[in-house]
Amino acid sequence: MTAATVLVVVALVQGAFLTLLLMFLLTRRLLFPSTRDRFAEARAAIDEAVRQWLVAEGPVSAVRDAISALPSAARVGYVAHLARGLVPAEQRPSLVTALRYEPWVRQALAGARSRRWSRRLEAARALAFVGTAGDRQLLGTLLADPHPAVAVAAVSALPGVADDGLVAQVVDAYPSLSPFVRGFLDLTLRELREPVTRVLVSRMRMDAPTLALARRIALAEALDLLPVLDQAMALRGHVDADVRAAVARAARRLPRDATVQLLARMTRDADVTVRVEAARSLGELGPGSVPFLGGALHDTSWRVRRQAALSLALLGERGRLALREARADADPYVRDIASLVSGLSDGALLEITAR
Amino acid sequence: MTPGLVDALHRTLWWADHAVLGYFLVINTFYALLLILSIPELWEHWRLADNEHLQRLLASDALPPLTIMVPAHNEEVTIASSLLSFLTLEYPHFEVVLVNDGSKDATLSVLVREFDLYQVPAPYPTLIPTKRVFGVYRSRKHARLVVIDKENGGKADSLNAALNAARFEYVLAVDADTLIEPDALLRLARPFLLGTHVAAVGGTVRVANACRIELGRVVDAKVDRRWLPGCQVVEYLRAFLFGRLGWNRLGGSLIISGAFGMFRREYLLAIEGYRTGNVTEDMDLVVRLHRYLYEHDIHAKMPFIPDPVAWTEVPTTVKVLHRQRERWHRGLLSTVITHRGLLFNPKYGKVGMVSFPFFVFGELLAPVVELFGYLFTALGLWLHAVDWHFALLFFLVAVGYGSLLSVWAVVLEDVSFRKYRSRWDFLRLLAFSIIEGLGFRQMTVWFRLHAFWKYFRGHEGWGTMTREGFGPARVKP
Repeated sequence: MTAATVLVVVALVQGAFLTLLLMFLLTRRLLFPSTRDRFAEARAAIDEAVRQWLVAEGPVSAVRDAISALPSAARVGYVAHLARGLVPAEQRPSLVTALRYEPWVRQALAGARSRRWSRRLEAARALAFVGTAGDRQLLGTLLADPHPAVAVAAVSALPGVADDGLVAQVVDAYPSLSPFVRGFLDLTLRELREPVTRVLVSRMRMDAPTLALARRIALAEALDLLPVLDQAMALRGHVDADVRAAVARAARRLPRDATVQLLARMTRDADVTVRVEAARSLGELGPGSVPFLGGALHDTSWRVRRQAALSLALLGERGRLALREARADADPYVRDIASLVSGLSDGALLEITAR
Repeated sequence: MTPGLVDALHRTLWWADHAVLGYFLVINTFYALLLILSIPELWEHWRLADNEHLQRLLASDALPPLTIMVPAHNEEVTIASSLLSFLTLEYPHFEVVLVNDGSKDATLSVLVREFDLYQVPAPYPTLIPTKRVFGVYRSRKHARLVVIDKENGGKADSLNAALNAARFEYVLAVDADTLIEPDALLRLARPFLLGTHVAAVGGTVRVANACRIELGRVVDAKVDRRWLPGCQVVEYLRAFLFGRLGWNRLGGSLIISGAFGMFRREYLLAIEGYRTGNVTEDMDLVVRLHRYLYEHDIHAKMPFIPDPVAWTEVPTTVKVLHRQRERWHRGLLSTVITHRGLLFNPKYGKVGMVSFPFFVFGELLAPVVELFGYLFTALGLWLHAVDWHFALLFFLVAVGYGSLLSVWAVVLEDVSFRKYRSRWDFLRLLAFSIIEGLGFRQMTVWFRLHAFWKYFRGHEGWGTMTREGFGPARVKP
């Protein structure tokens, strides 16, 4: 084959491919609306059907049919969207029943054991709305999925499916999950506060593994589980600084004199992070913390001094007064940090101290 | 000329032409491979971007805090509005460190006035040496803002100063005149949500010329009617949508745009930050980062993500485009020479065996080969050693292949993000895809050849990049 022949072949293939691409583009653009437009149109129809169904003026089958009329790629996405509490709990079972045996839902759920993560993701997303108690085993598998996107989607299915056993499984796995799956669990487990409390209370022991303990305290703090946090305060003397720091951080959820005293002691902890967390929490516990934060301004660590100053600035007039006095302190480090924080506006202060 | 000499010349020209043809086929086959690899990548990112659960997570506190580093030099006209657009990005935790790099205009006084700055002691150690820092400022209006005023030392030096001051684990390098889409940082953070160990992440840069811009945001993407910026719209689409995306599956690109790239600070400090004196500090940084990761057996990725978008203004005159392209190619040449030890070095894995050789043979030497191709063909035609049908066919195939790749980039854009909503913009995009290979491409080949001349003469400057600006409606501070 000569070079010219090669070029002719390349030119023909290239020309054919270019023509096909151009035809595809022009047909798509000029004759068909975009997927986004089709989705918007179908979405408007669903919203109307859902509205009528919610006020008992329309049948659930209309909602099912409207969802089924969405572009195929968008159906499971819309079902996952419904899982975000848009349907009242008492009406949810009838819609779940209506959808559960739709061919596209069954097809999506069948992908739960697929080798392709995208199919497992679709299964987890579908399960988030149509999942029932019978799906516990399937959900357990998806929760342990190595792809975080699948695990995160599966977490959404927990409120509809979980029993105490599954919650215990999730809480036990919690410390070893990636930070982002943990973050998502924090959002989702709010709907399962009672079983989570029961499990965490039984796991809050001094002899538990350190990392697990610190992360469970953080979970209890994120979910504001007061019985668990009460029990966690007993871990203030734990040998591991991570656990003590978690205790100091969580203590802000328990606004009482005993907590202020506990945190005051923790501002003298040997570990810097514990002292920073204690100073931060004191700033959220009212003017009774001011004397202790004033003491923390003299800490040897810049991080603790900075946090103590920020906390004082957040404590209203008494805190501001303490900061003004600190600007004339004999210690230049105290003067510097007090001047720096005093110069911040209220908005800037809130922005910088936002957790 | 003796018949023997003529015959030898004919044979040489025949071989040279076929060598150029071979080069052309190999390089374009590689581009086709990138094109094919970009499809599953784009599909995967598209699916993840659409994931309701990840979107919920993006709105939570689960994202890592980051520092946005903004080098600024003589930007008094636009700095207040640009900075405000950075400060109002959608992201839970971030700070902005702006470095005034010895501006001779009123950049600093504008900042002091608009953001109510006050000077503070520098509360951080100087981990990377930089030119002298005159002062560090904080804002009474925006606690997220830190301004560093320093002696002029260039962009790399400014970024190093910002790196010293950065408080957070991840840093995002942006140009002061870049417009970042409000949700771009959230999208850029997706690899972290997926638990990937990431050393750096690159996002897409698109052309802002002719777009409708309100309050520092691109509200309506448009394709410039003018030939020069119009061709660059297509060029940017091609470079980002399938070029860099395809590299994700081949060991990672060697370029993360300096206008929009996120890095892990720990690694940047380990390689002593940006190298001053290099005119394409972004490429040099990424190559050194690859080297560092391989040499220390760190399995961290440097993915490119297509959906986070930053918009930038491109040159609208041939003169400025010439300076820009010459500088880019000179930077590439300098980086390749500095890191020549990577070439076909198996110690550096895919980077040493695939990415780096491609940048040497497919990018750096491409204009040289193309020039020789034109010269040999002209000489061959003159000496009747090359058939003119063959030469014309070769030229048309080369131009056609470029158009094919550009149209493919337009297809990817249209089936995924479809930023250009109007039909006229779409048709304009197609038109520029077709005509880009006739004139624009040859012109940039010339500019890139000029880089060799300047490099070997020891030229190290950046050249002045004049811009039209985004107009007064950009931001109302």
